[in-house]
Amino acid sequence: MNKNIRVSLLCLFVCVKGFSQIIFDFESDVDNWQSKSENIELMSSQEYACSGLASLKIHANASETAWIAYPNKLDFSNCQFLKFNIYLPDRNLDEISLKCYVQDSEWNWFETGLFRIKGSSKQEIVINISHQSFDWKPLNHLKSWDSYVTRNISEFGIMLFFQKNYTGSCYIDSFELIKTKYPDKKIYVYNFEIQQEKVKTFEKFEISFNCSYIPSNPFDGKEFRITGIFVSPAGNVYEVPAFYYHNYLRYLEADGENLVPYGTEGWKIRFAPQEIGTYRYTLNFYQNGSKISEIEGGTFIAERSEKKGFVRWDKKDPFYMSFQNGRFFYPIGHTLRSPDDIRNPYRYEFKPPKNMGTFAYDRYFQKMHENGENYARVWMSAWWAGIEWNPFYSPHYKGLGMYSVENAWRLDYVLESADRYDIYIDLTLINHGQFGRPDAEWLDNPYNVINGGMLNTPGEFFTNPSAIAYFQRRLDYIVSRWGYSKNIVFWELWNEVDLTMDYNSQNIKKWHEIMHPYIRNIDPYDHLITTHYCRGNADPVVWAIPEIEMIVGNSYSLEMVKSVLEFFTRRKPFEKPMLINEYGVGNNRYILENNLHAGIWASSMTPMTGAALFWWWPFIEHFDLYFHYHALSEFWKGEDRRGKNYQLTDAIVESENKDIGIIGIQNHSEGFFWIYAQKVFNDKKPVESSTEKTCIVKLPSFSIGDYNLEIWNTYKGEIVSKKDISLSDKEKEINIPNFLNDIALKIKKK
Amino acid sequence: MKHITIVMLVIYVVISSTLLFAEESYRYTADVVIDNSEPLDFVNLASMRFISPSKEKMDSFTISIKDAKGEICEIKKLNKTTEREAEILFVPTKSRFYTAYIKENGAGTIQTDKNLKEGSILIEDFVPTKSTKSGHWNWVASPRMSGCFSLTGKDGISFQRVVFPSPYKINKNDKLILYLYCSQKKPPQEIMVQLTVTRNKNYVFSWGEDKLAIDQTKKIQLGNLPETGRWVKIEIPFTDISENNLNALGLYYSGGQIWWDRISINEVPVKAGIKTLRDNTKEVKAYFNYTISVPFNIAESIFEILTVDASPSLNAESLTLTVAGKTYREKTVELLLMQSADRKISLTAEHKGIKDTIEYEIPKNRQKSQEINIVTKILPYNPFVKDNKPFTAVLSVKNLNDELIPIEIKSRCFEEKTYLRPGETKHIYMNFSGYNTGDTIATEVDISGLKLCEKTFFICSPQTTNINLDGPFLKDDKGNFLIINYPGQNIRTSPTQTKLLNICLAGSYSEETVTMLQNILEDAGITSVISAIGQPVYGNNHRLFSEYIHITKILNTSTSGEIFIFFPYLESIRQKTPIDEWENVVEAIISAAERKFSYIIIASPFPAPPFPEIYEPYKKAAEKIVINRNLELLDIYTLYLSHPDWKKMFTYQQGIYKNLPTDDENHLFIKELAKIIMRLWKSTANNLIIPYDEK
Repeated sequence: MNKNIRVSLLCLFVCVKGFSQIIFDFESDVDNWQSKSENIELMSSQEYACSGLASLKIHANASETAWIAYPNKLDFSNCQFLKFNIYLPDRNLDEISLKCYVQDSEWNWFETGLFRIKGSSKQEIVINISHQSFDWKPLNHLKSWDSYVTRNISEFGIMLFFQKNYTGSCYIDSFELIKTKYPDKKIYVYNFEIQQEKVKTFEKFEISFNCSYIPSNPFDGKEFRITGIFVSPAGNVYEVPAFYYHNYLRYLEADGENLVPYGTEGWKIRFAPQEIGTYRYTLNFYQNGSKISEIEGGTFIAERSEKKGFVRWDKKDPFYMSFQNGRFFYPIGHTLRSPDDIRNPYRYEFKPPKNMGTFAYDRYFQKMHENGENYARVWMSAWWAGIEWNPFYSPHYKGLGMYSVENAWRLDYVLESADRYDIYIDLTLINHGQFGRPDAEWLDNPYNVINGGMLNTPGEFFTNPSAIAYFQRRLDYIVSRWGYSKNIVFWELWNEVDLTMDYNSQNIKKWHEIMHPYIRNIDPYDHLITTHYCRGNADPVVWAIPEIEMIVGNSYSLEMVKSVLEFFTRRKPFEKPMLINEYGVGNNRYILENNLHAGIWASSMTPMTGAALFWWWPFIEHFDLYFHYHALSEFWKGEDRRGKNYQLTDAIVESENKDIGIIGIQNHSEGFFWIYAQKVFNDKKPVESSTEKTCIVKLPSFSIGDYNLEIWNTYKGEIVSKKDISLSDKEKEINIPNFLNDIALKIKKK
Repeated sequence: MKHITIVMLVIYVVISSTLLFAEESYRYTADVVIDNSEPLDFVNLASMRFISPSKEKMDSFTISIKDAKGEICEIKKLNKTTEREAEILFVPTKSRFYTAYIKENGAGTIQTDKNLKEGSILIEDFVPTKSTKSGHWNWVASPRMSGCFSLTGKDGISFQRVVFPSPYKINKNDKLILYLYCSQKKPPQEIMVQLTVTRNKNYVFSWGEDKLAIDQTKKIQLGNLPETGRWVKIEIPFTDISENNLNALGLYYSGGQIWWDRISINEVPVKAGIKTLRDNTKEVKAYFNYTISVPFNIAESIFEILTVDASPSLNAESLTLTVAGKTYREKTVELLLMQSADRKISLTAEHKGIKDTIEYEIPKNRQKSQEINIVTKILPYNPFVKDNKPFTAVLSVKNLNDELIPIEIKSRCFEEKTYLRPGETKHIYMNFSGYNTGDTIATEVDISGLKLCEKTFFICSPQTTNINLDGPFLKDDKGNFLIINYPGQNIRTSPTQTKLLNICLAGSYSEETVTMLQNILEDAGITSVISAIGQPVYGNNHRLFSEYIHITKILNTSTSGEIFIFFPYLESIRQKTPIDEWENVVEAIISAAERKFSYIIIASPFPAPPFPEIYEPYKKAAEKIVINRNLELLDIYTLYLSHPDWKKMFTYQQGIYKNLPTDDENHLFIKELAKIIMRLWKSTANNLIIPYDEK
């Protein structure tokens, strides 16, 4: 350390003396310090004590270095300096050097420069540990020393370098923290930055800042909360909480995506204006539930944008969705649960890339967009974008009530990428495994008593008041950070909630009755809310409650058309929108691809809210099967289902070939149909189509008149033929040209 | 006294060994040592690999093992690997040192214990990489029983559970052996071991109080907690377990702290090795030990890692070792044995012209090859260096295999060999020196000469335009990591007289700066053209590097001018970039600007409240650059901090501080800047560069 700096630090130390606290004095033992070197012994010693009667003796036995550490939590907040004494009694020892290090809560390493100590001398080491300090340099990462590092130290250590193999002892003693004399209790913000003073409607207006108050847990709104109050040009008031943030830089290596923490931590407020004009905002500060300060923020201007806005249940036809600008939204997409999936439906001929992280989504979204997909399902699971989990699972997790800002950064990236490619997300907040069988993720769950939580069994999650409060705190963070995103369509509370341990319908129902209004209350953007089930018959008790806005479930079957129809008819009595969120079966490439094809075509030929979501995304990616979606999206392009009262068709096919099936939706004047080979798409033992077929389609419910008929290729998304037809009382049928696997029809009255 | 003891000891050794040979007349004696990393307490079994030193078959040998005190050790089993090689399993005493007496009498007199159970290690320093782990896995070096680490958890309730990649076969005669250390200061209340067998059925064994529960599984109580403050050996017999597969193991404790070590099914022998082999018929004896890994593959190549250690040879002045047709002179050789290679080892030891040779063919390994999985990556580094100074980059290497892997890292400036334990990550500090701009430095990561990967650094100058940002890195189009080597010397061109003053502004400054500055200069009769290099687009990249690339890309392609003014970017300072890195990058930017501009002005950063001290080190770094390179300093930091209304100038709203002064307060630094420009302009008119000292 520079001599001048040291002198000035010592002067400062003298000024503030009297506000010190001895943290290690080694009076009776080594105060939980440990040796991290092979030939170094630590003991409490009566020799060379600086304060009290004992010091810490570090005995080296033919060692070049001595690495000692205090591997426990320390809090340096509101402290200016750390001071300790070191004594080298050996006159023959020329000079040694030492450095101190700390590891933060995520084990990022910070170290001081080298201090030099002469043999037979005593030296006082003083290090600036305030958050303004530059004495601590990050090593092999890019995080900066700041208030949150100082508050959450996981390990503090000292490394002594003897320059040669040394046998002998040195002594350290009297570790003191010199506290800030007058901690600033005033609330103010600094490093205040507004990304843009003019934003387009539905886009992100973001404020970044640091706050003078450093809470012990920045995720606990009860301890400390900052909210932005935004007043729209029309006088509507929105309350948007600030959230704790840290930046990361990403890069791709042989092991996949790597994230490096970068810079300092801080707060952000994100807001998406929905009106054109000038918005005014103020910042409110709450401590222990009481408002302690209000700061006038400023104004910004929201300009008209081309963006379609948030997705809503359509006001005129609540079985479908539309954007705020009134445009129809029909989801076509597939599951992108996480970047990869270690399971597969059959032994793939290829190795799916692993750990590609956000890089995987760059590629997925681009391909989806190019092929007309607009919808994906993403999970906040422990292995991907989850935020609340056990730190032993991965150091970026911080346990119950604390969140992974690393995974949150990943989700930021995914949502920004989704915005770029116009992809809308069903964001799944909890996956069943977290509260599933004891040998699954439950063991690592921070809510489990074994990890310091409050739950003895997974089922208690739905009833334990403390667990409910912790989950609501998680929702607060999720909504404050990502609520702004119009690309989130659904907060999907659960994936396969019926597969949780000790499933109890009444408890699940009650839990949803608590959580739905809670989200409605904290989400100023009114995102849609649902929950997902696995089993076909689970769970009518929950489906029925108004808090479940859409019924979502699975439809894994080789008899895809039958399965889709069953899914629809079983849930139809509940008079709610519905969607198949998972399907995909096949024990080889051919069968699985046909299952993919059948699922999207069959489901889109029902009055469900969107096309079914295929599960095996690495399969789609590897074989570049996005063209199936291209064809489907071309077929449905420009078709607006709202207010059309489309119902499942009663059309039938007549053919010498008994293998042909039909599924479709229609009203009396227009209809959409998928005609398919049953053996290929709807059979327990599917086979490849080998011969072309033809058929006659009978349309009993169409009204009499002249129609336009389009026959579509379902692989290319092209019209094969177009013709004008007339349907009369006598003849309500169409001759279908030869096809191999399947074909689609559009019939519209002139 | 010390001398007497040594003399007595020597006499004892000589007499006892003489007596021994006289009695037994064994042809070979081998010094055998149990490895230091292996435990001695509670150990019932040790294993030693023995290769027949002659061409005699193993069946014909008689072997006897004694410890250092002469106590005979029972030989439990002889596992023949080949006709000439066997693993000898014996019962050790508390000693680390043994002597094995071996003779070829054609009788094969070794009596072995046919009931000896083969042991399998479950947890020792690591768990198989393909296992699924849950819980609190804390590997610590102390206390430990064997290997490098013991396993502990966290305070309070803690557990570790591992689901093995494939089940272990068990039967009723087997047992689980665990070593356990309970803290004396913080003894646990209960300890539990959970065995998950076929169909996920659990057996739970417990010691101490009834504090923990796993579902509804009934606990099998095994009594009080073990003794604290020392290692104890625990054995759980599988007598009551009727299933044949062990799928998972769980270790639990409540309260206090405990450490586990060396967990196995049945007794796993500790490893012993022959240190020296004597042949009483010869003055010199050639002998070696070897270890061989499982077969690995990289792409199409299948290989094993073979280590041959010839140090057990007796009296060898020189050694000639031939492995797979290649000859070596070293005592220890580590090499890759390719699948198709000759597996013959020939070792010749020579002493005073007398030679002894041993030849042996290593048995083939029939196991399926495993893909070698070593993850190598360059960690974020500072890519800016001045005047070819040495630089350091850190390579992280991680072993994702279940075996110890030797790694070599080689480049023209640097070479290091290291061993990676299963699951271990090491950081290799690579120091580079003696390079020049334009050099490419390839760093290769090898396993015994077989290239795993290569990381390449390219040394470029600040004039290089082929630079891309890749998160925390600067790379060229080929993906090489870049090192920007900038000159420490001032290389500015002399100013030329011109009617028009070309000024370039770069960095963070308020929007009004350009117009205000232009107006002031115009009022002073100076016509200026002011170009502005604004903010970079940071994206997901390193802030400081983004700023560097943004400025230098424009500078390197723009026309020359008279004055370049650099206002440090707020973003990289706001992120508290380490000062030395910031200084390097700013100096590299300046060295690029010096090629195009006659005068350079560096502004010190604004002292934004409430912690101006955060900006002071950057101000000092800017001053240092100004002095080193003979530049002009616009000391904004001091200018604003000394103003009585300093805090107000940065107050955006009451209680909100911004990093730039409010618009009304810009005139303060712009006026100061204009003064410097006018002074420089005057000196340009006189065609002079004012030496720094005269300013």
